[in-house]
Amino acid sequence: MASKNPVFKARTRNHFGKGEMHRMRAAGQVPGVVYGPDEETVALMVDARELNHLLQHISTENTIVDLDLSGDVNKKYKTLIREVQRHPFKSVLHHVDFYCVPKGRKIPVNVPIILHGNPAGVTEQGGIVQHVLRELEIMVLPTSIPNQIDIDISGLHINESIHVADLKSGDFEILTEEDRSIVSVVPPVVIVEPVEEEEELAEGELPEDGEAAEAGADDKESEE
Amino acid sequence: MLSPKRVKHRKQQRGRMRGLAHRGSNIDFGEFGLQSLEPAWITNRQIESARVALTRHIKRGGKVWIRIFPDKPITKKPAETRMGKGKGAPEGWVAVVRSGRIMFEIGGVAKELALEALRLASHKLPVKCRIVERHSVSEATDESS
Repeated sequence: MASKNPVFKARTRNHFGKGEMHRMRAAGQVPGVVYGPDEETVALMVDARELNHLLQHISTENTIVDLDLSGDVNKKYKTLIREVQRHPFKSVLHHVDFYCVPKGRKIPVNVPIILHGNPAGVTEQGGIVQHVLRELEIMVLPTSIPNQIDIDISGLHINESIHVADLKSGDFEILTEEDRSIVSVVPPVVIVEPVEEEEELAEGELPEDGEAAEAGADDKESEE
Repeated sequence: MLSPKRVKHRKQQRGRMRGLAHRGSNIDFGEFGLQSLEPAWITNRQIESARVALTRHIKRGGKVWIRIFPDKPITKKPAETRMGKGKGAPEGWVAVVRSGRIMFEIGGVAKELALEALRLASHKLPVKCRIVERHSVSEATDESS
């Protein structure tokens, strides 16, 4: 049976260190590493464009990627992308970690939580949905990792919430604490009139400075 | 306005703002965020002004998160004063923001409303900003102020 997992090609690398890595990134390669409980750690490099393409099309934390390694080590791994290091605001990838999943052993995985439906508390009472927990940590066999956890929130009213304890676990064991709230519907926050707010601000500025000066004087006294 | 309740030392040295914000550079609470593209000191007045712009535009509903806090005291010498005679008096508070820092987040509102509110807020800040969306930090629209 053909594998449905995305296949990703990588090459082993023998270059290490900051300078080499800078040159490698400038040449359109991204340094990375593959490791796992039963595998030897291998340093590798991947094509930046291919990696970007892969990351845009899969959910990284719960998709098994068939890593096809060539170079000094010719081997195929079943991996999960554990960590992707990026530039804080440029679309530049710095490093990628592939975690080689052990066969027949359960592994901890983060799976995204997807909400479905329009809560009654929003449509009828004007509440706001607060999606607090967006990922669920589960213990599952690598072959049966769910793509997502679907939750129907159409029955939620204002001041009601769904907790981790309310979820039904299928083939997996939930590791996230049971008392964690996933989603809740809260009453709308009413903003005061802008004119009043401006007056309050203008008034509030003076005492603020006054307090700061007083606090400063207190600190000076305490230092002495 | 935001300011610390109490501090250990009244005055601080200025410090430097080298490097990037490797922490606080992801959207962790809301759906959309305002990211700084350059380093700066953001005063508590600027933060308050941006917050007011955000909350006024969304009117009701939604939630706003302020991800920076002005915990650094700045001092200033009085006008027409000769140099010397020690450091000036504490004048206000600033947050040290490095490039890449998510300063504000917003959630629970429609996309168009959130983007416009963040655009308005970006004009209250002394830095170039961009608006970022959850899960697409690298593909956001640029927004300079």
